[in-house]
Amino acid sequence: MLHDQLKSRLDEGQLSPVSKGAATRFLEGGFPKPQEEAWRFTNLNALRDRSFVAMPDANLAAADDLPDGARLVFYNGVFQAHLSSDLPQGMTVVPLSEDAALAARLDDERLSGHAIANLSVGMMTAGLGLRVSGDVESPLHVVFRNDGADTSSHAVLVMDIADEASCTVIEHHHGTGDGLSAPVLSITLGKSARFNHGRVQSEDENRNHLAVMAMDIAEKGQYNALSVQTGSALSRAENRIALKGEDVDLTMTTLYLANAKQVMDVTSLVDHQMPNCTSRQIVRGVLDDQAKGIFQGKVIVARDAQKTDGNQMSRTLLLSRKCEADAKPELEIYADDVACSHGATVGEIDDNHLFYLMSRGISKTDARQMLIEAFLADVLDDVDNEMLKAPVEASVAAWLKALGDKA
Amino acid sequence: MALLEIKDLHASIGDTEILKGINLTINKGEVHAIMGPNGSGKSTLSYVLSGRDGYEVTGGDILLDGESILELEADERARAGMFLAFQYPVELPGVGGMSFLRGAVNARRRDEGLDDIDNLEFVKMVRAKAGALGIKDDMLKRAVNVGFSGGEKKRYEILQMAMLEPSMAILDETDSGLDVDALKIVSEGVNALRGDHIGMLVITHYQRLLDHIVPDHVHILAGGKILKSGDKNLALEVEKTGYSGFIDAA
Repeated sequence: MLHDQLKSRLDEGQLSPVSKGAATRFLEGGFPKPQEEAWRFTNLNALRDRSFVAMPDANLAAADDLPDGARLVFYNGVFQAHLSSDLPQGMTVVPLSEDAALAARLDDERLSGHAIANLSVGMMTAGLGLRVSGDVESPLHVVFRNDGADTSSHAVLVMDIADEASCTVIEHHHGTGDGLSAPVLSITLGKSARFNHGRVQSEDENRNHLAVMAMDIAEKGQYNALSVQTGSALSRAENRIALKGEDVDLTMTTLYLANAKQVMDVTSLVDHQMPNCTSRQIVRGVLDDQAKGIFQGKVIVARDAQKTDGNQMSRTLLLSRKCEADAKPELEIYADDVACSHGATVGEIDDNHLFYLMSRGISKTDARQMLIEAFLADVLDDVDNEMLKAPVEASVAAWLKALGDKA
Repeated sequence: MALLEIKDLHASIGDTEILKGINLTINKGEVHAIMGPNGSGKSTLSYVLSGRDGYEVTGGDILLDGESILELEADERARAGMFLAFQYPVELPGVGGMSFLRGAVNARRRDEGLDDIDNLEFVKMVRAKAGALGIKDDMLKRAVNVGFSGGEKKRYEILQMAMLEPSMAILDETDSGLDVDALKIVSEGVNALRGDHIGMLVITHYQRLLDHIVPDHVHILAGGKILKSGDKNLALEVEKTGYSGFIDAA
């Protein structure tokens, strides 16, 4: 059991101060309860009663389907140096146990106040630090491979992207078995740094996936993210971002595609602390069968954050009458000179659109596929970074193909 | 054998009967016009023929090339040779025009046991047919009908018709929303597709379209029934007397 494991780790007295604090906090509170506002729509009761076991010594001998190019590989939450590649110039990795400054980032309140982050930081065995300086052009793939029934994985990665540095990092989350994946990312983006961030979560249909990312962005930092979730029975990708300097530019495009009885949750907090920043959050969900999709997006604009341009727009396409879409966009504005907007729509495939395509000889199945693709293309077309786009489009295509095969 | 035979066709939307026994036979090479006032059932007829959901056929039959198509879905009817040029073509944001046209052409080819069309050949074919209709390249690259003017949408309908080479084409109020110049271009496009291999049903409220696309037969539809049939002169009569004369006489 995770509780027992955490307790004995504490009792052994071997934990780093950061892990110790996190473990203590998780043991006090446990998994979030549905009474908590942040977890109103995504119920973790089923997880609380499971007896997951973390695998601190997880070792994957070999894998033949890892992405080409620069990569870091985690297996069941543990960094696998032997499967990882050399890194491009400008990138270095260091065990968190050897870099107190990076490890201390995990104490940030946006992680220390989050139950799942506390669980994973408490369970962390081989947390990894990644420092980026200069312009790194080729993408770095970070592979999170998980497997096993009743196992849990707690990968922790702390990234520091130096002032004026730039890089592209793409996360790939794959796993089998009905275990729990709870990766934690902490990212600091320096002044005028540029970060292109891709993320594909395509774990098996039985897994549970609860990811937390905390990020600070300094003055003139540019953050551009594109992500897709298609996997897991229960999945939440939560981003907690603070804009800590002026003239930050943030764009996050998030797709989620769910069927069967999947529950898929996109939760974000964008905290505008300084003036003249722009944040755009674009969320597109496609739900089939009895799936449930959740979007919770909160934008905070502090008193000093004048001239903030913050918007978030969630659109959900329902392919069946039995699925459910919950949306909770929130604006909390303390400044008086801002341009903020939010919105959430839920709709079905338009019969007029379907008939138009079918009247041209295109089968109903193909026509539906074209219209779902179009729903997503509408936002994917605006993404001009091909390195981010390719893996996400491949994941979308695989999901659509499965949908077509089912029909 | 007739190309299209509509036999005592009755159709309803919900509990309301719209078509109340229509009989019409169209042979290859013929252009028929159906004229009628608003609410006469013109658009319903076009949708029922092309297989749109939401219309229930409560009696009669529709035969295409001698076979009933009542049980066929819209896409199957299209692949069997039926084409509907929409009164209001639908905008499809995110659906690229070229992949839409290619998908439609290939759907038909696959049904006929042919390989997908060669990409270069396809692009050549689209360009040639689009050029003849005054459709520019940048319009072809856009999402289907998105940002097109009314006239462009109608030309795009005719382009699709040219690409799909149907045996039976229904033109639903193709003149609506067109100015005189656009009407001329669209009509020329349609006339270029006339021939022994195709039958056409031109649905219109006004006679003016029939100055450009001259029909072989004209039928007056009102109250869900064909009240009178004749040659092209019948359309001129409507222009003079209006529909009320025909309705009162019936």
